[in-house]
Amino acid sequence: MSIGTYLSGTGHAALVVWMVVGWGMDAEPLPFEITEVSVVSGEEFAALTQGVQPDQPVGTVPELEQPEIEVPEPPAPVVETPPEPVEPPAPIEAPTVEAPPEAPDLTVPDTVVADAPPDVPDTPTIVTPPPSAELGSSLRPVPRPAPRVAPEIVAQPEPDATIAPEVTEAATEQAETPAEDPAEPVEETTAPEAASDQIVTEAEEPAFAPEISTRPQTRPSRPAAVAEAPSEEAVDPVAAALAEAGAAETPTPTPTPTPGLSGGQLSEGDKSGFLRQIGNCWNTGTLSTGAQSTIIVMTFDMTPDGRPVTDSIRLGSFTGGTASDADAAFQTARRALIRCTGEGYDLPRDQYELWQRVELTVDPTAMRQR
Amino acid sequence: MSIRAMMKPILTLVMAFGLGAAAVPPVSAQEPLQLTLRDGVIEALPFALPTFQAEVAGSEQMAADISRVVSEDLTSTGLFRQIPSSAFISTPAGFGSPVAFADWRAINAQALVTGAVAVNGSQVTVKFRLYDVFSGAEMGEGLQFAGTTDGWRRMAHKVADVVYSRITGEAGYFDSRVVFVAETGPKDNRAKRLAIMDYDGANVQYLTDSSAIVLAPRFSPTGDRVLYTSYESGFPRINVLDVATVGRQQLQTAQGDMAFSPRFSRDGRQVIYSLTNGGNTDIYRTDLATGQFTRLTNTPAIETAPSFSPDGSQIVFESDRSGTQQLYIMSANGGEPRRISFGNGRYGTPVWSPRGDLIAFTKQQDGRFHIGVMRTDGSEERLLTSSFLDEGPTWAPNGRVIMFARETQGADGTSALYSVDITGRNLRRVATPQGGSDPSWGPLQP
Repeated sequence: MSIGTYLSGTGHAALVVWMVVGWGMDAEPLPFEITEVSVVSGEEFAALTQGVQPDQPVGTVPELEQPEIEVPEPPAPVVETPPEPVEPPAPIEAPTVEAPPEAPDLTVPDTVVADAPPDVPDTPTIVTPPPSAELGSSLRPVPRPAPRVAPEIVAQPEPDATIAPEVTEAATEQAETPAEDPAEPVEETTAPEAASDQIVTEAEEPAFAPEISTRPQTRPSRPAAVAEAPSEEAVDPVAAALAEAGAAETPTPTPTPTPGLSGGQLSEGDKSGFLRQIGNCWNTGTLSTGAQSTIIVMTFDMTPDGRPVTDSIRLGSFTGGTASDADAAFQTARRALIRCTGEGYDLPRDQYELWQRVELTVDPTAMRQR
Repeated sequence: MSIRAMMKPILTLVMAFGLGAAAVPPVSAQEPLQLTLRDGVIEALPFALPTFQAEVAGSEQMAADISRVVSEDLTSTGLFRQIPSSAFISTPAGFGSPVAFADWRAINAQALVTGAVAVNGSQVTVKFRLYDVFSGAEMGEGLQFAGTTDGWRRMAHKVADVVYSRITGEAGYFDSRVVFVAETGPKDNRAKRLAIMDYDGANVQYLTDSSAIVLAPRFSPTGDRVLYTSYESGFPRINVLDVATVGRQQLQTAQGDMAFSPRFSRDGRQVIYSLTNGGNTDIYRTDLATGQFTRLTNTPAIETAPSFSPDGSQIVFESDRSGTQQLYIMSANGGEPRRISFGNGRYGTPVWSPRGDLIAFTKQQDGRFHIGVMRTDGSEERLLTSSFLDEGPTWAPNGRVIMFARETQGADGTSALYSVDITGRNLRRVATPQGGSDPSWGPLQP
C-alpha cells in the first residue's frame, strides 16, 4: 500500500468525524411563529355559517403579493365571424283545422225535360199585331226637306298651267279615231245642285266612326311571281316579231271579276252595296265554332221594292261542317237578311229582273275568330 | 230501195230531232244573282227577357230569381246583351199570349225569351219559349222543366242552356259544376280544401277539411268522382273521392316516392299521372278495375301533366327533354312523342279540348304567365291572358270557355278563379266566397 493511500484514508476519516461531531457549528433552532386556535363545536359552526360573522382573528394576516408572471403575448388568433345567432323558428301554427264537412247534398234535382211544348197552352198562335201608328212614325221619322244651300254656279277658275300649243297639236295628230261631232249638251231645266241635302249643325254633327267595326280583311294573297324578262341578248328577233304580231291580234283581256261579285249584270257597285247592307246585320259573334267553319249557299226571292221574300229563304248546300253547324249558320244569315231589309235594299228598281232571285254564298271563315 | 224505205230513216231523224227539242228546257227567265258574303260584324246579340210570369200566387219571387239567373247566364258569355226592361214597349200579357214582334223589333231585340213559373209546395215548374224577333217565328218548341224548389238554380241554368244552344248552334255549359281548391289565409300559411260549386260560383260546398294540403282536383267524365293529390301522409299521393258520399281512398299506383298530377281517361276507367321514383319523373297509367299500371315514358327528363285526347287515343303532356319545358303528344300506349310547342318561353299544364281541336296550356315568358290555346299540331297559338301568375286551365263542357286560376303579386296576394272565351274576349272573375285555385270543370249535368 502506498503512502498516498494512507493519507487519503486518513483525511476522509477526519472529515467524517468532523461532520458527525459538528465542531464549530451553531446549534440554536430557527425562530417560528405560533398562532393560537380555539376549538368550536358543530352547533357553533352552523350558527356561524348562518350569518353570524365569526370573530376577527387576533392577528392580522399579511396579504400575499401575487407574483407577476410575464407571459409572452400569444399571436392574435384569426377570429372567424361567428354566425348570426339563428333565432329559433317561431312555432308554426297549424292551420285551423276546420271541421270535416258532411257530405253535401249534391243530389240532382228532379228535373224533367219535356220535349213536348208546355201544356198551357200547347202551341200559342203567334199573331203579329199591326204596328202601332205611333210606333211607326217614331221609328222612321220623315226627314225634313233639306234647305238648299246650293251656291250659284261658279265659273271654272283659270288653269294654273297652260298647255303648250305644240303638245296640243301632237296629241291631236296621234288621235286616229276622228272625233265625233260633239253632241250639243242637252240643257235640262234642273235646279242647281245642292251642296248638301240637309243642314247639320255642329251639335248635330254625326259621328263618322263606325259603331260596329268589321273584322279586318285577311291578308291578300301574294301576287303570282312575274316571270323575269329575258335579257336582250337572249331575245330571238323572229320570235319577238311573231310575238308582237300575235299581241296585236290578242283581244283585250276582260277584267277579272272581283271575288264575291260574279254573276248577273248588275253593276259592281250595286252588288257590293247590297252585300254591305246585309253584312252590317250579319253577326258572326254568336256562331258556334263549327258554324264558323261552315260555308253555306242560300237562295231567296226578292220583291220589286227590294225586300226578301221571307218564305223563300232556303238553305241550298253547305260545306265544311255538320248539318247542325250549317243550320246555325243559315239561321244567322237569314236573320241578317231580314233584319237589315229596312225600307228595302238599295238595288236598282229598273233592273229588278237581275236581282229577282238571289243565290247568296255565306262564307264565315274569314270572320273566324282567330 | 223503195221510196217508203228511203223515207223511214228520214222520218226517224225528224222524230229524233223533235223529241230532242222537246227535251230541251225552255230558256230560263233569268239566272239568279250570285253573290258571296264574307264581311260581317262581331257583336253581342241583344235579347229581351221579361221577368217570367208567376202562374201561381206566391211564385213571384221564384219567377224573378229564375229570370235573373237565366239573364246572368246568357250575358256572362259575352255573346248576348240584355235589353233593360225600361226599354220595353210592351210585355206579353200571358205566357200563351201573342207576341207583338213589332214592339220588340223597335227596340232592336233579336231574340225574345218568355217564360212562366209555378210553385206548388216544394215543387216548381218552369216553362219558356224562345222567339226570333225579326223572323217573327219561334225558335224550336217550348220546354218545361219540373223539379224541387231547392234545385231552382239548376232549372234556370237549363233554360239558359237551351236558349244558348238554339241561338249559337252548340251545347251550353251553364248546368255544370266546378271542383277547385278553396284557399284561405296568407300565402305562407294557407289552408286548402277541396270544394265544389256551380259554374258561376254559387252553391259552394266543401269536400275535405283543411288538415292536409290538397292539390289539382280533376273531375271524372261523369262528374261523380274526383281525383286529387293529397299530402296527408307527408308525401304527395293520389286519392279518389266519391262526390256523393265524400268517401275517399288512395289510388293504387306504381311504386314511387311521389304520385301527382292525375287525370281520368274519357271513359273513366283509367287514370294517368306522374310518378317520381329516384329523382326521375315519368308518366304512368293505372287501370282502375284491375289496378295494373303501365309506364308510358322512360327518360331522365321530367314528364308530367298528362291529358287524354277526347277519343282517348293520344296523350298531351309537358316535358323538359329538350332542355326547356315544352308540350308533346304521344300515343295513349306510350311511344315516341312529337313536340308541338316551339315558341319562346316555357309551356306547361296542357289540357285537351272536349271538342278535340285545341289544347289549352300555361305559358311563362319574360316573367309573365299566360293562358293560351293552340291547335293539336301546335299551329295557331293564341295567348288569351297575361298576368303575374295565370295557370291551370280547364275547359267548359262545350269547349268554348276556359277557367283558370290567377294569383296576385306580393305577400298578401290572393288566388282567384277567372274565365275567358277562347277568342280572348270576355275575361271574368268567378265570384267565390274565398280564394280559389286548380279549377276542374265537370260535365254538363243530365
